Amino acid sequence: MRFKKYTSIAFLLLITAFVSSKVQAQPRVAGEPQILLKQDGVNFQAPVWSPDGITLAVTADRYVGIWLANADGSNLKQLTDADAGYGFSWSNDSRSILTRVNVFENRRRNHAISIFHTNGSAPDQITDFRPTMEALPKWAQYGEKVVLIQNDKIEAFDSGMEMPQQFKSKPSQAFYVLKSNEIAKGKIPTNSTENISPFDDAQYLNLEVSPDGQKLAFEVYGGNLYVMNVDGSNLVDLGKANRPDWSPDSRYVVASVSEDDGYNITKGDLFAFSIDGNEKVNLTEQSGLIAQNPNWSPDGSKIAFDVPTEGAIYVLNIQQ
Amino acid sequence: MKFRSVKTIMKLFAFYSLLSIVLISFSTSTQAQQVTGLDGVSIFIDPGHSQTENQGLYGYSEPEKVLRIGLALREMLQTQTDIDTVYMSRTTDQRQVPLGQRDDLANATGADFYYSIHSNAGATSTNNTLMLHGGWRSNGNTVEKTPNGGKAFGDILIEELTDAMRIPTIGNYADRTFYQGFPDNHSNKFPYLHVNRTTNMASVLSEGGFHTNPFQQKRNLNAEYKRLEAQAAFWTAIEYFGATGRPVVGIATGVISNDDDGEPLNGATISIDGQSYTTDTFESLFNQYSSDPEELKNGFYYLEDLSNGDQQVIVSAEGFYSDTATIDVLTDDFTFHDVSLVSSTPPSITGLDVTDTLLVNPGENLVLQFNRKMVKSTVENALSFTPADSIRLVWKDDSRLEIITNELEFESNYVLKIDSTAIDRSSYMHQLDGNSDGVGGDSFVLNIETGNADIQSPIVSDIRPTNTQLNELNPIASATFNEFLDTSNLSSAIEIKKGTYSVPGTVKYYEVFGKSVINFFPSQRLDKSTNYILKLSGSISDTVGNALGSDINRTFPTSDQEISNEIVVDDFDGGLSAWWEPSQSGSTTGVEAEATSKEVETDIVNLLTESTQSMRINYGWRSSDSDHLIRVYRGSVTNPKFGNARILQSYVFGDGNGNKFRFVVRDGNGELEASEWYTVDWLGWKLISWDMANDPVVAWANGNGILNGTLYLDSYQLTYTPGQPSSGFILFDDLRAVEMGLATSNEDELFTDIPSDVELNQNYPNPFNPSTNITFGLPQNSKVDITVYDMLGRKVATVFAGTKPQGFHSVQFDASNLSSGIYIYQLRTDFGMISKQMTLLK
Repeated sequence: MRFKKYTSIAFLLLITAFVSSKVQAQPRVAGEPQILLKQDGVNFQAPVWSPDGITLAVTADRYVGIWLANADGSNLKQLTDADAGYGFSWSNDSRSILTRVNVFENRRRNHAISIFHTNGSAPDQITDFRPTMEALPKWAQYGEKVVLIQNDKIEAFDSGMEMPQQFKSKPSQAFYVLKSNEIAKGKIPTNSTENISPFDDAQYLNLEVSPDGQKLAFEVYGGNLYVMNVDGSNLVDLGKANRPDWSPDSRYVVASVSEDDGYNITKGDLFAFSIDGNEKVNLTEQSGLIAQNPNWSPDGSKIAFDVPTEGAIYVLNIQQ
Repeated sequence: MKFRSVKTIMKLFAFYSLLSIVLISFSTSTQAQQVTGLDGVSIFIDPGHSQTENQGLYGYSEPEKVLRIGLALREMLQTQTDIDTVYMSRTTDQRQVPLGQRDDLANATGADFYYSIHSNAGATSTNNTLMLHGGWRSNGNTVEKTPNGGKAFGDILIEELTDAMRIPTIGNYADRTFYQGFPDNHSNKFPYLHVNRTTNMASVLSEGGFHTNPFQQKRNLNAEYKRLEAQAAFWTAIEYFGATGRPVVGIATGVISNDDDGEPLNGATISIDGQSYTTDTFESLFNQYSSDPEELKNGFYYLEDLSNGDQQVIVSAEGFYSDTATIDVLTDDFTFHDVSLVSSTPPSITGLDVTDTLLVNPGENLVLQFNRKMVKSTVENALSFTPADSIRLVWKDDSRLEIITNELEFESNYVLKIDSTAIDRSSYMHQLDGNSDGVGGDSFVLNIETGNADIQSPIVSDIRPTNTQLNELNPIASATFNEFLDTSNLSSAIEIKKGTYSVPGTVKYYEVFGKSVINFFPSQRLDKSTNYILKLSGSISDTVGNALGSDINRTFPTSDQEISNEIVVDDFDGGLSAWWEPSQSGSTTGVEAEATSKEVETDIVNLLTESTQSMRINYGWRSSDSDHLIRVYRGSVTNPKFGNARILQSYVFGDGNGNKFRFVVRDGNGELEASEWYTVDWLGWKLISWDMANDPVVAWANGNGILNGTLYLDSYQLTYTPGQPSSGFILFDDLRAVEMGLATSNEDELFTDIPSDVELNQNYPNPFNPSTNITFGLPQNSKVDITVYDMLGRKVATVFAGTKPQGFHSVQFDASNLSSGIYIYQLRTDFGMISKQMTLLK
């Protein structure tokens, strides 16, 4: 009996230690960053992994064009040469990319929402071209809808894609968008929004929803990087950092910490921040690279990023 | 606890929101709009930089200036056109906005055009306009980024802005061609500047004049001057977007100045069409930027909303005759009207006290400075010198007369008189005010006494190398004299000797502030652990023939140490573009802006390394200030890195004024650490070494007095020593971080084996960790560069850069900071280039 009791306690301690070690493990870099994509005449930037982790989508300088490559950098091909590379986002099924395309005429730009398909089929243009489109489109309702902020109001469009079967029985999915001075939480079909901004009159940038849907990471314009719960509570200041992206377990945010001289970025390191604000790990300290625009692979094993002085996409192997 | 801190942050944002209102400005004008055709257009205005970074002269920064241009441009677009939206990257001096956020915000908005407003920095004498749109070279052509438009906008703006500012221009460039030249192909075929590279709309960056140029910066201080620049950008925008035409304007602008010297006038008032404008004064503006009421003047005026057509102009200022004119106020452009006011003060001679007898030695010329431009012939006719002797008059300009005195007798008395018939050049023909009482019509009389004849030999001091220490194997020999020397026979005036052997080298002579110095640069390394003799010839004489008389011989010993590994930080032969102007750094304080500058020096260089250029810092301290610092900052250059056990060295040419300099490095924690101050009490070249492992380390700014991790050079810093001369100069050459080791051989042994052609041996050991030796041979003396590259062709280290004599040499390469891999080391000499591979295994 006594033996059994001690055995049970030891087992519990072992389990506790195992669980706590999993929870407390910091992301750790394994080896030097390696070049994943580089091509003469193209300055790649802003990589984004597909949700299934099989494909990496990147754009180039001025956000012109979108390219796709396998996760190991092979089979690089251009999906589009359109002015479409700023703020694009993958569909949940990794088959399509939602973006805003821009055309230039008479020194004015006109904008439309388009969905490109990785199978090479013709893109779907969701809206007509408009002279102003002051925000980026977002997926909503598990990909069935696309929403856009225009004049601080929600416009919703059919994406032309069918909602996956597993989501059909689920309640309406909330979406999160940036208005001119507001982080807004919205729902289909009412298109109503709720202001969940932590600060009055601050400007927000680069809003990212955590993979578990419970947290938001965002930048305050001219300020710091923050995370908070999707209801606006539990705000945590992570300090000066830009272009956040979530670890797949939603426990860390990777972002670039940079310096510039007003003309070019002169230093840039990637840091992993724990969402409680207690840990901050420099992932590129020894690389000597100006690292920007990190994106964490869905399996957590890699972070892709760009180096603007080289026009190359690098990848860091991560151990957690 | 955390909740409280967030609350605090929220309060801060609320505070900032009151200051800044809202960053993005959506506006459709409610005023009557004169210009249509911009419906649906949106523009993103980016006042460059943030807060007060990129300081200009007088403590006024670039971001403060360009923000006000941006705000004025926004106001013009919003109130005078039907433009849809004007966005701004920042609207206050407080907010710090990084480059990445600016472009993210602009890209998110989908604006049609991105206009980034800057002003430039450089030498105090440089001032111009410049446009930089995104572009590069491909197949012999210059390619503009897409969407196009930055070049077109820049083509218009360069005309408008240059005309508005009335300064030179250097043009509108594709940015990569401006920074990297015009090869057939750039290796990076994308825009050079971040704002052009990462914006997805047409874009251009403008540089409106130099905030390091005194003339320009004094105008930049004026509030309305920013409206002038904004007006030029406004006309550009409406032309670029094809609007219906310019709105009607009535703008008169210009500068009011003193007719005598062209200096702008403070407090002058100009009246046109019922409006008046008084130029800036110390009391109204300049006291914010200077404690000297006479330092800052711009004379600038700017009147808007005037009636068009002929208008009468009345200009007045205290101490000057009023001026009137008629101008035609244009409807579609600036109406420039500069005014020169004539002083009502009679001419007098400044800077000399006529109640005292002036001591002037023959040969020391006397300069008379008039406060007005003079009719030269009337001065010459009115001037008498008694007793009559042979003097010569040389006009330096219209108000400065130099009297050449080398024919005067020693120990004599003279009287210089200028009769009141000397008149100024104004149409009022004011007569001389000889006693400076403010009323013209009296003579100037000056008693002059000449001193004793010079029969003294020059006095020599600061003879180096010394016998009080072991000296380096490549020393610069030096001797300082209390007066100028006869330069006709200095080639063998100084020698380094071992027995009867005289070490070959080059002699240089410099005159500095009434003193002189001879430097000798040996062209051979000296033998280690050997006694040499430094010999100064007794024939060295001053300009009137007084010689030393007998030779001076000083014995000095050499050490057994030489440089075993050298990282060249900057040899300055490639120019000074990495180094900021002293006034650009916000840390620089207590200086006379116009006397403080950075420039390339080609005459005074370190001949030991066959240097072709050095960096000259001219300084002028404001002795009445309590704080004095010049930070000669190396900008964003963070390479090369070097370890904290090295010796940081620089050759320094001193002016002997007793002011100070020091090195500052940034360590691996980003902290700024300095050496102790070195008092510059020497003339000529001297090697200054900071042994970072053993010498004191002084915290500066965020530093803690500890050198952590690898370092890179942040700056040279200078400061003033109270009581010492407040103006002078200092030169720096061959800045390097070295390791010392036991000298391998003496000169004779070094030359025993001389290859017939240049050779580069395989490094040893190989593979290595972390250091290895690279041995090479030279058939003759040569420049030598040994550089290490990674397999992507990126330069990772400079192992050696300098000159070496014929024979074989070995240098050590420390790869502590590199990761494992294969590297290429390349030897460049006057006889060719050789490369080999080496393997670093950690």
